Amino acid sequence: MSLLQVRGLTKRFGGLTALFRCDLEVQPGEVHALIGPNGAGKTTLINLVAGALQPTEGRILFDGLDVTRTPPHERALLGIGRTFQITNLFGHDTVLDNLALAVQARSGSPFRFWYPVHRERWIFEEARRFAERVGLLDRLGVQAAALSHGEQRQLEVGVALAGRPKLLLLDEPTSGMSQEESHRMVDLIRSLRGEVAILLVEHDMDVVFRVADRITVLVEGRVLASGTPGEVRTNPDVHRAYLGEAEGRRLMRRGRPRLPEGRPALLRVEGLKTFYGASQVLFGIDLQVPAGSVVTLLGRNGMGKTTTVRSILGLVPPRAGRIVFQGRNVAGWPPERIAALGIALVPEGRQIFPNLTVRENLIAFGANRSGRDDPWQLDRVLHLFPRLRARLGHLGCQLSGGEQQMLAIGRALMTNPHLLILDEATEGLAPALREEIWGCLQTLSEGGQTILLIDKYVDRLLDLAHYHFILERGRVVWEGPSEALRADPTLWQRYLSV
Amino acid sequence: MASTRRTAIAPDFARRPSAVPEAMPTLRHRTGLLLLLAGFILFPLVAQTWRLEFYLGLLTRALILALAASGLNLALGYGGLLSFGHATYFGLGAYTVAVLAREGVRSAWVVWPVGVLLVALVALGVGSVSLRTRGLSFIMITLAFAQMFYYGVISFKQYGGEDGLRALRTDFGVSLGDVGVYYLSLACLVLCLALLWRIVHARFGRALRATRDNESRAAAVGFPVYSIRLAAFVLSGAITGLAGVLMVHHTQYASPGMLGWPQSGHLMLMVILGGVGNFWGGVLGAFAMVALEEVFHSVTIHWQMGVGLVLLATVLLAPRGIAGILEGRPR
Amino acid sequence: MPPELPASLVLEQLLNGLQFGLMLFLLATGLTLVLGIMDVVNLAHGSLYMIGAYLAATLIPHTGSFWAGALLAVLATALLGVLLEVSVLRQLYSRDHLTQVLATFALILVFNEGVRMIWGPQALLLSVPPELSRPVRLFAALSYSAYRLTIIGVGLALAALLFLLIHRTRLGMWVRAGASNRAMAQAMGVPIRQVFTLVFGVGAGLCAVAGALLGPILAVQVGMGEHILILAFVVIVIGGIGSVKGALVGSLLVGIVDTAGRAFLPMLLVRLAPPEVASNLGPALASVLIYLLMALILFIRPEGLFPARA
Repeated sequence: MSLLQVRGLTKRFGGLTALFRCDLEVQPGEVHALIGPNGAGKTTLINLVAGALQPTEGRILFDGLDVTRTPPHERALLGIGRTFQITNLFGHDTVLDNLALAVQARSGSPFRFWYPVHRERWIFEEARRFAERVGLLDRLGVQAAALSHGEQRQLEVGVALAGRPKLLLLDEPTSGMSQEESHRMVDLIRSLRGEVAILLVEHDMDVVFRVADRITVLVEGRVLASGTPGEVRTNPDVHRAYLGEAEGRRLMRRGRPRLPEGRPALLRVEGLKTFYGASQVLFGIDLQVPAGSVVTLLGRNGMGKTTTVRSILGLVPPRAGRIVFQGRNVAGWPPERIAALGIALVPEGRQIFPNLTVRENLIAFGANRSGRDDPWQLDRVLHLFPRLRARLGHLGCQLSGGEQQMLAIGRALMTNPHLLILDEATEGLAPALREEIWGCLQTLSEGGQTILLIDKYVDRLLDLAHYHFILERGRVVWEGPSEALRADPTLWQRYLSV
Repeated sequence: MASTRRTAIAPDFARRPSAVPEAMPTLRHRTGLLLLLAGFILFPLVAQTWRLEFYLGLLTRALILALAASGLNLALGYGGLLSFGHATYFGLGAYTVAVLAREGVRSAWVVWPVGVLLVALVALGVGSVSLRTRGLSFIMITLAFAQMFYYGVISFKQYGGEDGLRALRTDFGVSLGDVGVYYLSLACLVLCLALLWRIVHARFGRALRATRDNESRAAAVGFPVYSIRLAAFVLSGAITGLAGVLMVHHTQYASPGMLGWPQSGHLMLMVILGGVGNFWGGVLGAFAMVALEEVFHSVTIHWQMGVGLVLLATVLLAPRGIAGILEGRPR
Repeated sequence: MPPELPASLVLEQLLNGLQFGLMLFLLATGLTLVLGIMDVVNLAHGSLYMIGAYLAATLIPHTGSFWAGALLAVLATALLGVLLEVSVLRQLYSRDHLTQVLATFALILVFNEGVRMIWGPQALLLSVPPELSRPVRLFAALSYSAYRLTIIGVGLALAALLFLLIHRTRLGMWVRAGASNRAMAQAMGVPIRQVFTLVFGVGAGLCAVAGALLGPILAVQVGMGEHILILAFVVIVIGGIGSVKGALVGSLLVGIVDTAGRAFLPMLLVRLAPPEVASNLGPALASVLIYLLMALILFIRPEGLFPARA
């Protein structure tokens, strides 16, 4: 009998469907990996199984019991342990205390008011054992917040294990880890095989293929495929989901764009290092965007693409490195000053202002920051995106996903930037809309707009972009023009797909 | 992706090593405490000879406020619950005594348990509703309840309305003089501190701090967060209510101001002055506040300005309070 | 409607409620935008209202004209607001809500005492301007204070002006964008720091308008800010944080419910319950009514009626 059975699980957030009719089974003792491109709903699924979210429809059965409405702390006591995507520990407590708390929680009522905990020596001895299990025995007295990022992820697993779970939910356990740290995590997970069932969300395909007994692929909230690693790897649907349509209606002309030599770099990033709190995300990024070109940032999720873009714009202050825009180092400047120089962002998730109308979203920030002779104005933007004309008076939150995407692009264009940055501008859109947007980007590029683009549909990008940078684990691992990328499909397999 | 919005996180003061020592106080600590206690016990006897009667009243007030602030510290400091309505429990404790005295019930053996129990029940009711909310909503709802009780109490004209109510001290079989109230306050404070020490070091205290430091992680390891917080809230309210009972014995007067939200703010400021989340925070803060008020009072009639400025400086510059200064810089 | 409840009485109370609600709106707007854009809980907002009233009570006799004095008071308070923001409030942006609550509470103590130091502990007298002190006939059935009508007029005019500012100017779009997504607004080039200082200053000025106008009706005394501050918070919780429209709807709701409640609830209770109970319960329930309303709304829609963030 399966340990965990998820049946017909659906989760809606208002108008957004994050998961739709998902079925999943995890057997006792097996390592089951959950993979999928950005926005697929993997963490939502983990949160639903853990009890942090309530499903809109569907059932969750654990060890024979229906736990769909059971609160998270009760599920923990039933034997579901979890780690979080962003490290979530008791920061000011030591390693020992963190583990001891988990041991305490699992062993009897918290409503004891008289007997001092430190006299229950067995709790601390058990905690010590778990510390040893995850390789932190020599760090027992260190505050969790003072640990390195990799050690914190290890402690996360330790805290989850200390609850003696039957099922362990690991949400991106190796995120932000170096190669060696990843190896250690892989060894740990392997050592648990048979003892504890593990449901694992991961982007690092090396890790996945070394530990998983079975793999389920989630795409846009639905289960696309499920089976052994071999089956998944050779499944053409899976490849298409990761890399984009091989065929399909093309609005964009097939082309081999060639950039004339000797163009100056509009943007140059040198040695960029960025941290989120204690965890280092970027380990020295170098890239250049020549004026008038279309440059892409490629790579799987969690590799640092969005962080790079946010660092360029000053939304996340870089710890080290230079960001040179039109000859000026803007690293450390506040975002509005950088934007005023002529960089506009079309962010991940669109982030249009929900309490402004379409018209207001467009005209509120309008400016001619690049000093063009015939700048973008409202009429011209509406000509580019005719669909928006009918929606001018509607509030931002009333638009569909595709319309919001167009609005976000229009909003950025209205500032007439030197550099237009788009982060996952086609995510979650129907194929026809994606084509429309790429067609529009091609038009912009032909008009001389410099574009920095994050997207996953490499096939298309080869026709659109001049130059590509592939990121992995916060570093640039490959760069080159479209011909080079087109010529070497093993690169795609290695860095971009399953 | 990191969110720019502030969610309900453990406040700034919690960014320091755990202030609760794992072991019981060392021998040196214990000796120091015993000496201090002896000093407090002997003070009234000495006060007569050295003509310090005025300070007897002041110390009594400090002891009672120390109890109230320590009660609040359990919810605020250890629980991370920003209750802006704790004055309700303080005031209700006081008013129970005063109202019962007005109705002719003066036996301490009846009035005290009734007072504390009533306050605990109110805290249970308010807590069970308020704790279902978070962050700013929680502050607002506790504030709303505080206002409701305030207006409720002052609407009873026969119990003084806006003017407050005179109260006779309850009867323990012997009548209580000022010195009696002093010793009673000291005894209650010492007893409650001992109780709090046990609570804080037991499983409950650890679990409570876990819910404060990281709510989602606490739930994920199996702690019933809502129940733990509710229990802390009720205990905290009861202790503060007891302080209210003592206060009305001290002043022999229950005033509606004891219930209002500025009184809650006053208690919270005491706690932060002393050191939020530190065991002695309530005591240190109450004594420091009373001393501060006295010092400024003797210097100028505009003493509230001095106090306000000191408190502002504390909040901005020394958020860990006096206890933080005494502990030294964090490791 | 029961026969003893004449339409003129109902109308009068509705107008009073409207008047109070509009003044509340002036306070609530500044408060909700400060909380919405910079995520700062500012308890000292009520103190700005008090200072505005005190300044008006001083400058009006000084200049001899109600309107000139009031205008000067408004400008002075706005300036004070800007100074406060630049000095103290800036320190609180990165801090948690508890620190903000306590620091601004300490500010209340400082301001209260400061006012006492400058003007003394007695309440100040602020009189209705003589040209408005006679009642006006409305609808042939109701005689209503001309001054209160003027307040309603000023309130509506300011509400309209604010509406134009927020919904028809670029600055207003920036403010609204900042209230819903500060980082994205910055990424679009909005100078959010300066916008915020401006919002704070304007908010302070609006407080002073309310203080000066309400001064003749309520008392100008130390501590007048605390009571109205709580109501303003109730308004923004009901209306939704960061939304001026929400502040307007919330204030009118609170103003009318509170005023009508105080006027009619005791009357209603007298018919339902024995007199001793009614005479106590009536005023108590009336005071409590808006808090019950707020608690209800927090339960059904915790984000409020028109939250700025999606």
